[in-house]
Amino acid sequence: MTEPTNPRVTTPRWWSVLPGLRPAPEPEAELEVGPTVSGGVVRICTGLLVALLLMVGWSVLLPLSLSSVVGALLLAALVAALPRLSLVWVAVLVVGFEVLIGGPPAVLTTLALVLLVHLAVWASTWSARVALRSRIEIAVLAEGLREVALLQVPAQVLAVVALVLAGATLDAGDLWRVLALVTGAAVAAIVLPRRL
Amino acid sequence: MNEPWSRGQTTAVGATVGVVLLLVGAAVGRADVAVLAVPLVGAAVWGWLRTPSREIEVHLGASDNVDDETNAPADEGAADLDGGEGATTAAADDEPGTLRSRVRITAPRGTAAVVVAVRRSNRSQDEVVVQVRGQRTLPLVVHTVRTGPQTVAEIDAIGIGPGGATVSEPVEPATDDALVLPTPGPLGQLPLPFRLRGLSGAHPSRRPGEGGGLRDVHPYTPGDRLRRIDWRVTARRSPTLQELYVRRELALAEAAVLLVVDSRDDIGPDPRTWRGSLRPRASDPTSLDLARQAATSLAQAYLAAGDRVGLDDLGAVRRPLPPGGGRRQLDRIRHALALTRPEGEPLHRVRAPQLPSGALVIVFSTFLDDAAADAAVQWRRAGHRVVAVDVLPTLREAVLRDRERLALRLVRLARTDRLAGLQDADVELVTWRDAPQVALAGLARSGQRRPGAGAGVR
Repeated sequence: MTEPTNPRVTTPRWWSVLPGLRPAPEPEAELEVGPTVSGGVVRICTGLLVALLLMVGWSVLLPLSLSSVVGALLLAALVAALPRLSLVWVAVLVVGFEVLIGGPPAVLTTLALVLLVHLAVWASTWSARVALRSRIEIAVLAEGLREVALLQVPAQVLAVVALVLAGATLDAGDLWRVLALVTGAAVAAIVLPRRL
Repeated sequence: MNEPWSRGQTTAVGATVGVVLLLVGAAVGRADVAVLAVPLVGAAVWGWLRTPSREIEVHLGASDNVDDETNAPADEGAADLDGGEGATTAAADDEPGTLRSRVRITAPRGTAAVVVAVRRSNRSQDEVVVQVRGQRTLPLVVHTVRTGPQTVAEIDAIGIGPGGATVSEPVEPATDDALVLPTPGPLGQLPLPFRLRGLSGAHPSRRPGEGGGLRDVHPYTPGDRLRRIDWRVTARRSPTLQELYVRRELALAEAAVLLVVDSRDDIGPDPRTWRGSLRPRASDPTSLDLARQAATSLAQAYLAAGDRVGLDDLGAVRRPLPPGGGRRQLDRIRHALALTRPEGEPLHRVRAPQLPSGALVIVFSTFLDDAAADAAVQWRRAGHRVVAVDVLPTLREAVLRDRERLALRLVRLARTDRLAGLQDADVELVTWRDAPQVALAGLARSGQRRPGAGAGVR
């Protein structure tokens, strides 16, 4: 039991002065957790990853143009705005189609696509789980990123082996870049703490 | 696949798309297309293989000292509340109206995160995705303006498996109840009944006795105490000391106050909620909250002055709390007020409840019907001083449509007539939402009489 009295007086937020915008009501009940980010931030990050994925995929097909960038941003905005529709898979299929039509991309581009596809899908999974005003602990995202990195190490190695077996040629620069990518994923898997 | 957990839609579609890419890449002999599927299929398979086996458990209530190290600092500063009902606690340095509880989540091995949603009064308040390894206790802070018995919160939880590949079934919501006591507020001068009683208290009465002001100076008679002899008066009036004079004082007396709460309705500021299909907002104090707070404030003020205060409920047929004094009486009144709530069909009383003679009656009601007003008039006709406290909250009319506004206008007209009738019957009226201290002080001054003539003012 406690002794409540009058309603709390809340200070209006700065955006409440803007016409048509009302501040969200102060939550009546709140959980005290560790550092968090809002669901909106997760959605924006997901959209950015999808946009980057689409632009890299388009670059395999044709040089980047304003219309391709706008198209990528539009689809990314759709993915971010409607996370529960799993539209990220449309983006993945589009990228697969572009790679299929555009011909074998450079080794580094392929490896970057493998990484971006994984990150975009992973981020989309979380943005589908949280509402816009929900919060997600940074520890959860860090642990998820660590798992992504753990999966990326074998995925990148497998991709390199598959590409080499398929006839792709690796020059010295490519070798270093591949090595850097794999090392980066491995370091991320090791460095990202298990518990924040 | 274990029964309490199911595959997530996103991951399942992802695995399907991955398989499609893999097949297309294999069919056309394009390794660069096939390798795009590796992380998709790999993440899905890895997540499904590590699907947790048990259900999520969630509990809301007192801590059983099971906190993991992640939450240990958050436990500091919590203190048990008086009364000890329920498991909800409040920290000493919290602002009034803050409830503290704990959400304990137990997750099976392999759970990546748990989505914890907090609801209160069927409205979503907070949703957080938290990391849970084994067991975790999360502090829950609830801000409430409501008093009386209430549900602290309802907690829903859904587990998320590794990589978001699986999700658990929603668990049974965890709830916890608490009884929130009303808080007294400061008040100034208060009205007193027409007749005081007893020989204790802080108010001068017109009866001879001790402790009050000077009544008169009288020649000494057998039975007078020697220490009451006024030697100065004696020396002035009888220099030869043939006669002694004593100072006689008035007795002190106490007031008997009966607080009568009309618990038959509990309405909020939004008239659309009055029909009962919608609940008032949790951030809006209702009429019964105002009545509880008003009654507690008055009880504390009268008891602090040494008066005797009792409590009755117009909406329930039960024994009233008889007038009494002291700190424990205040605790009893607060507890009884907190338990006061509308029960069943509104009670119709043919006759107003019997009251101690000479008591000051303070009626707390919205006066939306005649019952409380009729009882107040009956008590006034029986000779009691009656104060009617209007606890109708400030209404929110901007949200009403024309028909609702018209209905409210009709209700208001009837209520205004009722309140005018009360004043015609010499029942004094105080509106609690408009500076009640001023109105009560005005009533105190209007009832002021010279000491010795029956009543006074604190």
